[in-house]
Amino acid sequence: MRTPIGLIAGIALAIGTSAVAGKSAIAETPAEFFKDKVITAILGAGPGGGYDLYARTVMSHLVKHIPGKPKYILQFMPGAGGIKAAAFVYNVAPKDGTRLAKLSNMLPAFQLLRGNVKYDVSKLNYIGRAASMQYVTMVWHTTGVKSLEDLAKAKEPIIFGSTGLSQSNYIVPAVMQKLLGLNVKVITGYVGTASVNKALEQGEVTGRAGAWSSWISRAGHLIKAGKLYAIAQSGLEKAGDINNGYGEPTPLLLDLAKNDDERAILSLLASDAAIGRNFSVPPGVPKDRVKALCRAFDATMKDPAFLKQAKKRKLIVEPKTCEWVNKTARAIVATPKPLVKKARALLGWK
Amino acid sequence: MRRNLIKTLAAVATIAVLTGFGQPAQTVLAGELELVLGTGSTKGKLFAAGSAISMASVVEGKGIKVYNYGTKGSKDNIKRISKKKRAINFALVTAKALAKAGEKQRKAISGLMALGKAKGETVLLIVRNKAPKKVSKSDYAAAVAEFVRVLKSAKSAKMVKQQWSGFNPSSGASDFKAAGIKLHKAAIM
Repeated sequence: MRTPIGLIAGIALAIGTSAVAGKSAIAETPAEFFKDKVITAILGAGPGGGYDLYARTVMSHLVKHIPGKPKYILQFMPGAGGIKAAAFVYNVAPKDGTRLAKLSNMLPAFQLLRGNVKYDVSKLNYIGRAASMQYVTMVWHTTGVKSLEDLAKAKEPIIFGSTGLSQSNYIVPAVMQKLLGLNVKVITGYVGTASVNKALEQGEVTGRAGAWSSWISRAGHLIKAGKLYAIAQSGLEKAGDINNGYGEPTPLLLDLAKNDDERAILSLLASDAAIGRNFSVPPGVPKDRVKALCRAFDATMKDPAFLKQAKKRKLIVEPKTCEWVNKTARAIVATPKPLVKKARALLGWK
Repeated sequence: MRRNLIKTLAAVATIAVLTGFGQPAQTVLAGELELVLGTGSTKGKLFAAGSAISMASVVEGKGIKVYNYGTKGSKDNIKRISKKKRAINFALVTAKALAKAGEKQRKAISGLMALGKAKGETVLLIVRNKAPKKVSKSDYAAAVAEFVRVLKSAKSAKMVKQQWSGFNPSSGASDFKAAGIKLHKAAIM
């Protein structure tokens, strides 16, 4: 018969060992964890575009502010308008803080309007936003429409070029037409915004809604030459540097809402602008690491070296903290169901 | 006396190993060069292998970072690596797909090595000939050579094999020759 003393000693040893192991895991600070680690920044797009440029610029400075100073790499996962990468980050990526993501700003809206997505924005941990993605509605100069007031009186419709039904360049004019009753038509099927810009110059279409940063980088010369007028901006708040081409600030589409329901629908559809160039980590990452990443992001946004590089690369920097982005995203996905149904019907989505 | 001679020889050999004596001279890159590797479907083995290769480039590499790009596979990779603008720098392609590349596409790329087998097919690593914007030809050549060195290292092989058991770097010269693709200066011979 075995001695009970040996058994007791064995149990005591096992308990002692697991307690020590547990204590060391709990005691690991973010600096200890991130030291010698490589953070993978997953992008919901291919290389060469705005996602890539923002991610490279932010990440190269962010790692200097993360305790433990880890290294980083990027990983491009395009597909389904960024939903593929979001599903990967949410369900597959390790939840230890070594996977960071720069995901689509449309995720909250897609979650409500498309449904059946494999992520829940309210559980994602946003660590901050580098810039808004304000969508600006531009109208070609020959139409004579220089403002929303002009558009309200226009007898000829403004024809907007769009790349697809799930894109903001469709959603914005569709809202203008179906919710606000403005004289607008939308033609979809263009391949890329460059082809819509070309169609604008050739007179095939007379308007396009696009990200302000995209307008500046791709059609800045047309704006400077007075060939385009910025008649409206979509977002939850005005971006200070956007004006209509003749010195007046461009109005917010949201301000045209006639009642609370219209305001809620417009807010939902304009939420992508507010979520903007965001960075996040999957749900389940230890809170102290999320907090460390949030504060590192805030420090990066104030880092003179980052700001200098962003300016050199013509990147807009309008930062928001992780608390702000998380609160905004959660508010969007809490939009009441009847209003979501209305918004879906408005866009013709089933 | 003999014992002393053996000791001296052993010391010289140790110094030679530690200092890398006998290794080809390496061009040191001025800054950190970020390059993109087109792999395959994000659900496939080659994408997972690409993640490990990318990780190896930052852990083992000096002055380079190679980013993994989930694409639609070999055909798509050949298209993207031979594009005029916004092209990728490296790509994983099957020997079969490479043999079907067009004349213009062939001229735009060079062969680096065979990386192993996936689903019974040989997977080759190709490189875009043209250096990225604002990168000198010599820096690009040095970065390509460094990437090849990383892939040949035992540590990298261990990392990649965890994701892709078929990873087994070799020359692949006969496959490149059959496809009419020139070998890069840094290619495994």
